Amino acid sequence: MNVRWLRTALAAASTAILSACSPTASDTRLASLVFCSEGNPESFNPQLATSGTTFDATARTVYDALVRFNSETVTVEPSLARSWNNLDQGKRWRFQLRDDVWFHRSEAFQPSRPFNADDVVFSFKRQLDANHPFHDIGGGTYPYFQITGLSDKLLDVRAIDHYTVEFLLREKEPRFLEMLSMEFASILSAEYADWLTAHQRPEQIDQHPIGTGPFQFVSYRPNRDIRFKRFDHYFLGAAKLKDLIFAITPNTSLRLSRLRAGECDVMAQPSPAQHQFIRQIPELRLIQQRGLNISYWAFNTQKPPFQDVRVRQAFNFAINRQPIIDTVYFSSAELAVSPVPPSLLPHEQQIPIYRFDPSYARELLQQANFPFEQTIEIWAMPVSRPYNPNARKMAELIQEDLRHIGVKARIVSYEWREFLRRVSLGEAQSVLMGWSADLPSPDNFLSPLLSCAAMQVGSNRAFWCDQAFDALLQQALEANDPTTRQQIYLDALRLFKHQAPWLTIAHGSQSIATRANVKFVDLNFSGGVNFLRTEKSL
Amino acid sequence: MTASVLRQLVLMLGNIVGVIVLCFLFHQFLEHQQQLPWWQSLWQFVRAIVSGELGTTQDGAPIIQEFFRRLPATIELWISAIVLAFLIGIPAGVMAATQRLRWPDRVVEIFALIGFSLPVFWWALLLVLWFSLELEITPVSERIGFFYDIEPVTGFILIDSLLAHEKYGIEAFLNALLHLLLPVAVLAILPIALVTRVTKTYLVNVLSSDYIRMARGQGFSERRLVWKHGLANIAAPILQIFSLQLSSLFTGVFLIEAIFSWPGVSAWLLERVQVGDYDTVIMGGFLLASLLVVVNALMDSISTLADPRRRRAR
Repeated sequence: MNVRWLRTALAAASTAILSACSPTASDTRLASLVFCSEGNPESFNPQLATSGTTFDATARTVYDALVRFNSETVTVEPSLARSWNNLDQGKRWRFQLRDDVWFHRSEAFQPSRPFNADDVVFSFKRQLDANHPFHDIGGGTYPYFQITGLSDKLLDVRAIDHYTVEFLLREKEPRFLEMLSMEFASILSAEYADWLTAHQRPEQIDQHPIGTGPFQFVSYRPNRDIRFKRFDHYFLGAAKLKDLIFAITPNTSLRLSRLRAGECDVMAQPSPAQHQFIRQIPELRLIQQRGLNISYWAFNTQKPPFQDVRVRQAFNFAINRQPIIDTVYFSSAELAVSPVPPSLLPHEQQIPIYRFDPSYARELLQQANFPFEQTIEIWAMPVSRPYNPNARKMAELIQEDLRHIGVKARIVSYEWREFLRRVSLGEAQSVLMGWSADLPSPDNFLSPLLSCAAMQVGSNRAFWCDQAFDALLQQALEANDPTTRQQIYLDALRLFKHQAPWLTIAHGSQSIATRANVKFVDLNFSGGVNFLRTEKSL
Repeated sequence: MTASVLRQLVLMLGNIVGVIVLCFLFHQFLEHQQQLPWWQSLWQFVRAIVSGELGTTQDGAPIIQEFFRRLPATIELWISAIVLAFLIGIPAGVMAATQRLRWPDRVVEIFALIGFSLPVFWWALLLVLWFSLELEITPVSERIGFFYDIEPVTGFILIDSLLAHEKYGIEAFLNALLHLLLPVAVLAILPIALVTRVTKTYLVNVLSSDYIRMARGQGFSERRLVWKHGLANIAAPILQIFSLQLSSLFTGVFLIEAIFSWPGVSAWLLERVQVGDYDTVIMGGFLLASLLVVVNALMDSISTLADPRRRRAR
């Protein structure tokens, strides 16, 4: 009797288990996608945030902006705005808005009208106007609004009529459209804000977002998950997926384990060391694309021996960068010819490349009377970044190459904050650093890193100030014609290459891993994920 | 009977007082500025605990609420492991005892030996490697797939997933079962080995005792002898030895929750240790210890009740 019971129970259990893992996946699984993301969002309002993690869960799912940046064509395209024109020599921008866009409806809030100019005014006034009722709700700090300089440059935003909105700038800003494509420029609902005010819980605007985007926020449990559902009335056509779930998994190995076990369909930021492994597993796919970043070795041009341009050039010739790409980046990066990634400024064969030529490097050093008895300091940043996963290892490889031309080098490192502080003060003789773009424009790689103004704030790590170079950057910003602008940037890059304040090393790639049955996961220029087109098959 | 219950209660209270004092000492040790004399702080500490005000976590949520929100996950793991231990351990022990020195006995003995000697965390990692990563049968973490949006009604995922059957049918329940499989299997390995051994040893003794031999002589079937008359006599010692193992099972839960990212109390406390939220760790530890004290006392009472001799003796 007992034995029979046990046998029945075991049989039932095994059937249950077998049926649960059989390949006949149900509709629930086919229509929903689990994305193992790398952390909790800082907020559910992209205006308040700086991390890609937050933008993935807000600006790229729940919200839209007036315009959208297309990484493939490197142009700005219409989104919530149909068209635009600039007046008063670029100091006034007028946008025509779409009239067929609706905001999400939650259980409590139902929008009564489609998206219009009031929403745009609300979204920017909140950041601009310190007296705006919502300005201080989320803490009152709008990082990207400040970083882009709009906090100073933007004078006013006003609605001309229901579907026309105008931005007034203090001065001409050639990057204005690109700025409006950024995450902080997402459009929130003014009607929702009013409704929340009436219900005395304005802070909800940053916690339970209502946007126009392809996915609608459902719930959030810190350290666990964020749930979204499809917004059926999305103005560009509804997404394929019914449910989108972010499974918050900060640990990279656990993320990969979850992906392998089929618990998630897409995994954020696999580490370069995992790339090879992911490629070997037939059930997984690695999606990789060029990143908008640069890692470089800056020579302090204010300190000997790097005051001499021949020494800087010699160091450019002395280093073999391919082994660095292979070992530090596990071949996942692209050798950097200039500071600007080629996806932003096509410049193949247009600017010279420093070939690996140690004997010529030595010759140059001898011409410059280089003090071979001296030991060069290489400062290596102590943290791992997409543009440089391991600066220490990079420094060791460089050290080895220098040894071959008879130059002695020593690796220096400090705790990250201390490191940054000392480097900004100009203490480093040479330093391995890097940069990730916040705006998709060539200028974003040059002005903040190589201009004389950047030297004042210390973000010009080479402390290299060249008036001719600065003049070119200014001209490029003022140029109206894209081709002319491109030519000016190429001139600037040629000047940079000749003066050699850096050795440009690599553009790190951005990557994401998916199960093989997942299609069309889109990565944007800064590594953000977009699931609008994503499909799953059996 | 009353005396035994009273004795049990006093013992339990004594234990809890001990736990409180220990927690207080930790608390004092971690408190940097001490303004009050120690006896006043102790009084405040005790008063807070007695009135149920255990304070809040660093994130501002009431500790007691957070604790009980996660407790069902831990208890589910714990109970499942116990049930599995008895479900497998007793038949295995019976088989080994009745087939003594033949191959079933040897097999059971080898498995028990392995169960006793290999560390839990190693088992866990090994099973994850085989079943989850190589074969892709079982998941590696959590209590249920992220696909399923299950309303926490009871907090027990097996029940809640059944309650959500309108939305997902039986699928969510099966998925939850699958999630439970590896953690419970690993957690149950040691108790299975223990139950098997104890059952076998006692049953061998009982089966050679006079009353069984007498019954056998009277023509009782062997099955009835073992399962009814034999097991009834060894239920008490099995329960008793098992209840002694409950605390080590709790230690196992800590490891299992960490390895399988099981969102229970232990994983939560470990996470709190990492962020340096010591008040929560101390209070959570206190709640966990008190729970264990109560459970131990209950188990003790049950094993007393299960044994007619002890029941009458006191």
